[in-house]
Amino acid sequence: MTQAHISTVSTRVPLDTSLIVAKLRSRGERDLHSIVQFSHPFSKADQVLLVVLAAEARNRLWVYEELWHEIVDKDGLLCLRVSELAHLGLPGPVVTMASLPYWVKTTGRPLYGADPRHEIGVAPCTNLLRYHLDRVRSSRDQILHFLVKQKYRSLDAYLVTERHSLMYAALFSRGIWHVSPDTLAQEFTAACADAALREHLGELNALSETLTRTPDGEQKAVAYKAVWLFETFLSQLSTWHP
Amino acid sequence: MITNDDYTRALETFVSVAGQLGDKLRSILLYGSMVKGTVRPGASDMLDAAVILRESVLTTEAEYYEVLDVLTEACARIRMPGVPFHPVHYFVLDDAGWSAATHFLPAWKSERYSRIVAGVDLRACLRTADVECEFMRGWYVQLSWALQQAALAVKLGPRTAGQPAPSLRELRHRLRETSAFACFACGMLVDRDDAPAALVRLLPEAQLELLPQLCDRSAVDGDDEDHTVLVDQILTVNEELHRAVGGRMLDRRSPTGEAPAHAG
Repeated sequence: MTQAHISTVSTRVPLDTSLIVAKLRSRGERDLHSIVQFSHPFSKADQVLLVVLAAEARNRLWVYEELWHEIVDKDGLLCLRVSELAHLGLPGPVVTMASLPYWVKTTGRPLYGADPRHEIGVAPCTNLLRYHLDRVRSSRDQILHFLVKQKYRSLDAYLVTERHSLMYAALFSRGIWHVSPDTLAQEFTAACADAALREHLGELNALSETLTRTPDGEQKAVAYKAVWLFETFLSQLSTWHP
Repeated sequence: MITNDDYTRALETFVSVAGQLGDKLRSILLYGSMVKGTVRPGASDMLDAAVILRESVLTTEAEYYEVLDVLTEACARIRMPGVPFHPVHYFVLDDAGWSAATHFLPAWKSERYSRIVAGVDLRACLRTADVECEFMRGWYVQLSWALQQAALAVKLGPRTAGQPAPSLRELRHRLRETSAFACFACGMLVDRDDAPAALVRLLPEAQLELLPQLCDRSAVDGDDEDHTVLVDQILTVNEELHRAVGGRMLDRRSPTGEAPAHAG
């Protein structure tokens, strides 16, 4: 699968939460269980709205249709049935989604109805890193995709993205949730007891910088080195399991 | 004009070039439309294959570079203008058994949906770390949500000006993917093409009658009015599926209460 990354356009327009609550109550109060607003550092929306419907609600589409033009960032709105709250923390390909329960619980602000935060668990998925290692090892076709097209900088960008996904997975699998794109490197280094792995990470970062300065005709060798170091990183990370 | 023979020749070329790896190459596994006999010349991917390598290639830098050189060359040789290109997968099997992401296994382990075209048959060794399909449940939820957002963007207009809405063909593709992962989320590992019909049987409580035809690879889409109806149908079916699969996921067991089964 092409990774379903969260949207990249930010509106930075504060939500009129009173209007939103009024619209949802007016349209379908009978199905409405609760509304919570929370922060998620991986969302481009300043605040994410979690709309929780009753377990027996037949359809969630009306919520999205009602708020489609109110909430411009597509990752600024999540709608689930109360019986589906456990979906929030499931391990999936967009690794940062696994941290949603933590952020709902710690930053959530109930706007309407019962407070669903008590029904949300924040237990880490201890297999999360392993799943992502499998995913990445099953996706080496992506490496060839860039090599065949001689898009070496794009290859490095791909490797950086995957490296970050794996670092998040490693931290989340240990229950270290309070991580953002700004603090990932620092948190990972602090949590990593393996000096060789930390050193290796430094080499990978340095190589990315080297690639940006390397003339087009000489990038292949640097890209190969980056792929090799990435494989070594995968191997070292596989011993991280708690 | 692209023909079935072009796909056959591409496979022969790939196997021949990859053969330069000598004893570093353990097996080449073919899957997808060429095995199923459903190649649509010019539309089917070139080439659905997985290369299994000797373990030492991932621990010896020079060997790994040779693998990259050879596989890049083999893939480059089979690219054809106007034909969707899909580079091959490559991996090693270690003594403990390699773990593949679950969604490949229904095809890769199946006698019916895969074929060994070089080396030895190692399909029985393939396994996954996600034995309970936990990752597949999360993957399904994310796919279902992404499909919903894409279809809503077509129906209601993109949220951000200038953002292109996905095509109907892309929505159908996403629905096929979502259906396959819905099966995996329910612990039922079936080939992707079999997923829509399997879901209709598995989830009689949901209104999924339209799912197989919405997932049909050979469907030809009509005028704009048809598109509006189809997008609504995709949204509704996706929502029905989500509700029904969500109910199964609450139980956290496979539909039979047994370990996930591989079809084929």
